[in-house]
Amino acid sequence: MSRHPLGTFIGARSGDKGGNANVGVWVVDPVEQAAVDLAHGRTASLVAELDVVRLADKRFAWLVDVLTPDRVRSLLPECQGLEIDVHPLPNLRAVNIVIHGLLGRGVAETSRVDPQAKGLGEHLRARLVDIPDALLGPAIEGPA
Amino acid sequence: MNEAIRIANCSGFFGDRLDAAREMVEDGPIDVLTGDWLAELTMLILARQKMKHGNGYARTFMTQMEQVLGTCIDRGIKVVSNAGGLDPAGAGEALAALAADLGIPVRVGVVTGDDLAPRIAALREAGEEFANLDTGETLAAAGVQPLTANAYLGAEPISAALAAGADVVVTGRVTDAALVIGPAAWRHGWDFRAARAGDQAALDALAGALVAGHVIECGAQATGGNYSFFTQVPGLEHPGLPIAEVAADGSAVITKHEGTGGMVTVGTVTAQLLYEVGGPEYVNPDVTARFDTIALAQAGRDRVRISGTTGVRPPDRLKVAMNYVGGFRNALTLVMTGLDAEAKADLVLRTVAGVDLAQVGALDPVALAQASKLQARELDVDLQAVGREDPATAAEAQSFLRLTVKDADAAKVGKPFTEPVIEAALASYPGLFPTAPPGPATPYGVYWPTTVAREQVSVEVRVDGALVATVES
Repeated sequence: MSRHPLGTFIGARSGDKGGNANVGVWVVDPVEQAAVDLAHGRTASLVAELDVVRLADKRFAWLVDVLTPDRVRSLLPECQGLEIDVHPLPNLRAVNIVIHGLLGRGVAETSRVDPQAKGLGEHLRARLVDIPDALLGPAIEGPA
Repeated sequence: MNEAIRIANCSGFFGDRLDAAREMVEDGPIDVLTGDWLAELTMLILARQKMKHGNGYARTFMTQMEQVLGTCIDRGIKVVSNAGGLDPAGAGEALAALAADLGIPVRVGVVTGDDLAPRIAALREAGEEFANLDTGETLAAAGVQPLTANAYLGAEPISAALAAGADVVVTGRVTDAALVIGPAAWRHGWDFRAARAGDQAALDALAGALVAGHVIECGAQATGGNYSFFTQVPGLEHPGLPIAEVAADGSAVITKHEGTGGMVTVGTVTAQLLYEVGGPEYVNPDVTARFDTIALAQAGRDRVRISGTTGVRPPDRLKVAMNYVGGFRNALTLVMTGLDAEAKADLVLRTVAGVDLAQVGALDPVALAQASKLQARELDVDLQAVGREDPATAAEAQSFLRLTVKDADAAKVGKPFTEPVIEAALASYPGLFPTAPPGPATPYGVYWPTTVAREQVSVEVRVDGALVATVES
């Protein structure tokens, strides 16, 4: 177990739906490396598929355990006192977090500096959490 | 069985890249060009534009059409857009005039019926309470008069317009994904009525197209834009926009034109699937898609296959987006540099508003405004205190106090709010300055999400001005 940003192998995209915000988070599957290689015009890396699929599944199981509504409130203190729904989507190895009322009565009305919660997901990814070392794995390489 | 139909997106919001339409038409093969112009807030912007200039559609769409209309007609590329905004008929007329100017024969389809604003009183008499989806409050209890009220229409009228021979279809408020479902349903002959009656194959096909539509409706967000792992993405200075190749069974491949920037991977598609969604059921007027049934697979360079999506019958009521003018607001941000940031903020708050930091922590904006000496209805105070020891740079030394006031009366949040702050310039904490000069009050909108019974909304489809279909939602 060691402390790392949640975003080490978790992606997030956040946005607004009226006065509610949502943060969709998903775990990185190491086979993504092959798709990134292709996008850069490189030969796709061969990945030992059975093992990495298990890694992605383990990451997802861990994520579902960790991201309870209370944990979201402690990682994002501006959500304290707000109703939070957490919807797991195992088929996407993703979890969708809905934060009710964070944005007041919508993008035009709210006084927040970030009225559409565009940065909320990246804030969540920047928070440090204890991550089991077995889940870390290789980072996906972008440009050569 | 028909081949997959290649549906491109060229706009994710009112203000997206102007050149995108031309890029999507000229940089590779497509069958349909679509674009979304209408966010929740956009309807309010268009309402103000309509009051000022007399037209309530997205005029940037006309600029784009001027660039691509000739090529689209030459190549048989259909165009489907919700740029009609609050004025789809006006947009249709403007488009016909543009086509005449350019000497291009274009059949213009127009979808109307989403605009409920003129009918609100009658609909309320018919029993529609327009309860707020988030709060449950009825429109009558809130005592507000919406400036805009638009039902989210589905894909059936778009499909009908294309079937009647339209080359370009302009709509008002349809769901973003309907712009993609409509042409796919037209090409593949999907049966909306059968879907509403519960036919599973029809529901699944529509649900698959709904998911594809959701993925491409926000432009570059499917191709590496706004993506957590942006450092992996090639050519993000100018990403290509997404294309959905929708097959006859509703499954789809998300891709982009060869040689463009950005990338399409399971990661970039997953990110966009999760954008602005709620629970596992994603609702549209034609079908509800089960997001917990979607399967994604990389199918080659910049190609991601979406399959397996299950559809269920859509709800009985249509979603409605209302906006009203909530009043006027004004805001000022003061900078506190260095030591004692909280004490500095406390002093200036007591000076200009007559409240202290403890009250800010304890009271909501309405109570805080009442406790203050300001005339405003709401006072919102946000203190970003850095408090770093031995700050080496100015940025490390600066804390920010943001004051926002709101009121129904613009005058109360104009000078009565800004003057005390200006008067404090030489008289308050050391180093006081604002991030920007004080400005006038500006109006703000309030979004009111609600629903309406389907039978209250009747949709008309016209091609070149002639009524070709009425769609009972």
